[in-house]
Amino acid sequence: MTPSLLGQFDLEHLPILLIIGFALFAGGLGARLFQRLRIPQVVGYIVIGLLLGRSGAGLVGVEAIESLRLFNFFALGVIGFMIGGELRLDVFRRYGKQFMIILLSEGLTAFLLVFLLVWPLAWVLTGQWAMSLALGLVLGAIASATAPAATVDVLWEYKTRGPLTTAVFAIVALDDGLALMLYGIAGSIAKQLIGSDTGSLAETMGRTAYELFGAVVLGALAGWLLNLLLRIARDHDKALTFILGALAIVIGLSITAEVDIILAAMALGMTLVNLVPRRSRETFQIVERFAPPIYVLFFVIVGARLSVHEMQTWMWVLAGAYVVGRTGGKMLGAYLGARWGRAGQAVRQYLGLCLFSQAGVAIGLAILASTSFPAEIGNAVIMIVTATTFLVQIVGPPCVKIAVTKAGEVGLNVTREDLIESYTVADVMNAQPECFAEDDTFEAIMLALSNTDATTYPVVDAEKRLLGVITIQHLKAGLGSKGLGSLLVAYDLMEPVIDSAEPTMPLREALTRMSEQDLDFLPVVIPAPAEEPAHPPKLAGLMERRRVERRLTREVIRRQESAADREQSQLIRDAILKQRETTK
Amino acid sequence: MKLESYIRPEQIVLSPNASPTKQAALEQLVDVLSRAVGYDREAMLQAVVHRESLMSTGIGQGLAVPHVRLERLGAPAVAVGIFPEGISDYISLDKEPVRIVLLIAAPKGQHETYIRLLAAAVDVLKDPEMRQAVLAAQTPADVAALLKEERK
Repeated sequence: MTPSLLGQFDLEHLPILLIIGFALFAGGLGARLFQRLRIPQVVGYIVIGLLLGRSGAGLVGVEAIESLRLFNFFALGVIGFMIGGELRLDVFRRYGKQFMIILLSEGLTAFLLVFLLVWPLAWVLTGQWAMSLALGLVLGAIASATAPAATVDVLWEYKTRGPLTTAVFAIVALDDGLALMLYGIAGSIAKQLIGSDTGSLAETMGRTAYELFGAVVLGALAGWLLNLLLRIARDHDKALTFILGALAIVIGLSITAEVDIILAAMALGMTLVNLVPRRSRETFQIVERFAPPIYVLFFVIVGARLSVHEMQTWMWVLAGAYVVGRTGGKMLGAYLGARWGRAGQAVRQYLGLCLFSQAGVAIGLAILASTSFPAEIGNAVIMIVTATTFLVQIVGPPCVKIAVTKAGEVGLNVTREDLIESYTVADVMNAQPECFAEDDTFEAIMLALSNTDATTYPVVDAEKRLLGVITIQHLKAGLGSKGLGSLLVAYDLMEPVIDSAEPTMPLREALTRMSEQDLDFLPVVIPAPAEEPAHPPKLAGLMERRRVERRLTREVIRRQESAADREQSQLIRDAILKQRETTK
Repeated sequence: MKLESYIRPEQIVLSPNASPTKQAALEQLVDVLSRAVGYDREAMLQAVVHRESLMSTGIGQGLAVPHVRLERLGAPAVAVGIFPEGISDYISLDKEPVRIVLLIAAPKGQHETYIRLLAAAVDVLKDPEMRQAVLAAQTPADVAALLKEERK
């Protein structure tokens, strides 16, 4: 190898496209690995970034990061736009007053506790008053967020249903919005606190107001215009072009006007989703399909920029304080909020346990902080949030499971399909079906028919061995003609058994067999012992499609009613409390 | 379902002067029918006898309709036995001796055809005039002609 060739492979100066390609691949692989460990993939991207970047191999150097600055702005815009798309006003309206009280309580308590722990601790550890205050504000705001994905995943996995489940859904759906708002306000205040411009308080407030409202106005205006354009551009390619164009313009104008990029992009998305809720769904889907590589690259760069060597002892202490404050705040806040909002016992006791998870929004906000604050604060925030995300993502889901289990809401949201998966043939078969002997007469059969509601009757011998089956369908042929009755016995009317099931067979398999062969029933038999293979097998029961369906439906309803009862009793309790209030 | 399409002179046994046992009469009919359709005689006889053991097919008025469903049988088939002297041990609902025997065999899968064929047989021979005419017939061909005439 010649020195010039070697020179081209100088790790510090790899072509930027090569870096992008490498980051995408490694990020993708890292995400898969972390998903296996049930940790959000975002964490995987960042860890890969750490390994590739300054803390690790040094493959993605400072220069490369600098040259990807523009891309970073764009990625922030896309992220903001997608978050904005989640903020639908009708969702806020739907979850009435009770949830708003709980939401504000758990979010603000977590914010306050983290702020009150981090600020003095950071002050003591670093000796910098303003920087510590800013750090406290930013981390506090981030602490209020709860990750819906990991939390809701647990609820789905355990098929929960009931007041606690409803409350968790509502809170995690709403508190990203709360976190963003808190961050918007706290972040702006923090920025002024440590900013070089040491203006008066009024000036600071004015500046904050301009940054926030300017961004919102810019985004909203662009959203309104984009909506008009999208009406013309019906096909996906054109729509994507317009959306990306609008995003780039909004981002560019934000930079020029010095307003918040992510907030402006959020306003753009939020305007769009609330102007035309149904049609814009497609718009967001287009961007969503296009967004993954942007996210991957963005988060990998975030990781690459981090320097673990700079994660000093005081950061670890603050990370501990953050976890304690956030966990305590969520528990206490959820409890108090549930009390004030008059929520039921299950919600009061267990909601807090369900709100530990933290992921996308928290990390997103941390990243945002890293771009808009000096490296000192920015890195600390990212380090602390990333490290704690690891922890709470491992602890959070099991806590949700404990909460819903204790609240008794597990398994109440089962569907027919879930039941089918969990049952065997023995669970649903009729173990004592009406049977006939070979020589039972037509009259006896008709009598039995009018006394039972079955449509299928096994014919068995003295030892209960299955000889055949009689179905109503078959009997119909003999009903028309008089005089046949005295000529027919069960033997004449039975048909051979086409297929049968065994009691231990999974219900799913039995039902599949039935539909494949277009059977309305399946006799259940105990297989003949090996020493007498010539004998027909003994009858264990009968599975009729009609009865199985009824059984499944009844069980689903029973469980749903159990969940509804819990909700009902809560409503009644609420009503009684209200009554007491008014009579006082 | 018409009975006539299953009536063939060579599948009709006429025994004007004999008074066989039930077993002998059934064997005679199974002989004829198994040969006509090319089915294993023993298997057919065993099925017919098993069916009779469950409940006698003598339905009264001198009429019996033994019937079986057989695996691997090509198509439904009928054999007719005329025994004017009567079969003494053929248990019948009205205790009358059985004089006319219609052996009906059908493939296992054709349940409806089977039942309708049974119904048609009972229907045709329910008519007393028809029964008398059949009992008075001299040749299998006459019997076949009578049964094919049916009611208009």
